[in-house]
Amino acid sequence: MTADQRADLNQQALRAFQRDLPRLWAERPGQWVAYRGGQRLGFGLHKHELYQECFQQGLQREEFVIFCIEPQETEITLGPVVLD
Amino acid sequence: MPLFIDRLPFHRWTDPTRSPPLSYWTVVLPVMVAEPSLTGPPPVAQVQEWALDTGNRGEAFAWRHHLLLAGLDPDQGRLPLPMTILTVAGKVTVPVRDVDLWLVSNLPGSPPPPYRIVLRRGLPFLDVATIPDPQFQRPLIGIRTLRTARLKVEMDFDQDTVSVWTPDPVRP
Repeated sequence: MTADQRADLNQQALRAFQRDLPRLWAERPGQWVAYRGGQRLGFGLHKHELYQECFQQGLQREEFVIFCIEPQETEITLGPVVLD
Repeated sequence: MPLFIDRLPFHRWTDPTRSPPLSYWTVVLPVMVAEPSLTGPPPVAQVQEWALDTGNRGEAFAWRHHLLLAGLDPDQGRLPLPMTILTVAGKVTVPVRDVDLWLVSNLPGSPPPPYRIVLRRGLPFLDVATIPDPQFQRPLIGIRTLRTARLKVEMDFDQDTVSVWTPDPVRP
């Protein structure tokens, strides 16, 4: 799988997660969910356990993405020294 | 709650180029950075001093350098949703890598094993080749992470120390 293919698969996973998030947030807040592209692979109570489950399915690390089921922070504010 | 870090001194740095020399203090915690898939503490990892930043409303922040120091590839394990960093100097969008943090105890004798701190949103990092200033550009642990990890933190500004308690173990 090329880097472009991986990036495309991850963007598909992000879109699927964002589509599903309102319902998942209502049903499974704080849990973890794994996607391979648009395909949802499963849920977990702990992130590292869900990683292990995906590995056991034969998937490589770069083939899937795990998200926490919660509102997604997209901005943080830091002191100016950080970007100096 | 069991004591995990006992009166760890604040990091102190004195700038000798100022006249008279000027001191700075930073509340730092000993942290290891590791792959999020580990089922236990990383067997070998460099302990880094991460600044406790209660003014940071996010989870954490680091530089590419800190991932490399931890033996992690900053170009692997990236999450598809980047993070925008806002400062008074402007804003920049940075990549996010999925990692877990492990807090390291300073208790003498037989200290408890490292305590996993899960980053729910991953670790945003400044993806630059330059090495950050070791005094002013430390990796940061924000308030959201402290809440997720359910830590109790006591900062003593009389003795310049920080103590940390971890949550009570879950009983079956």
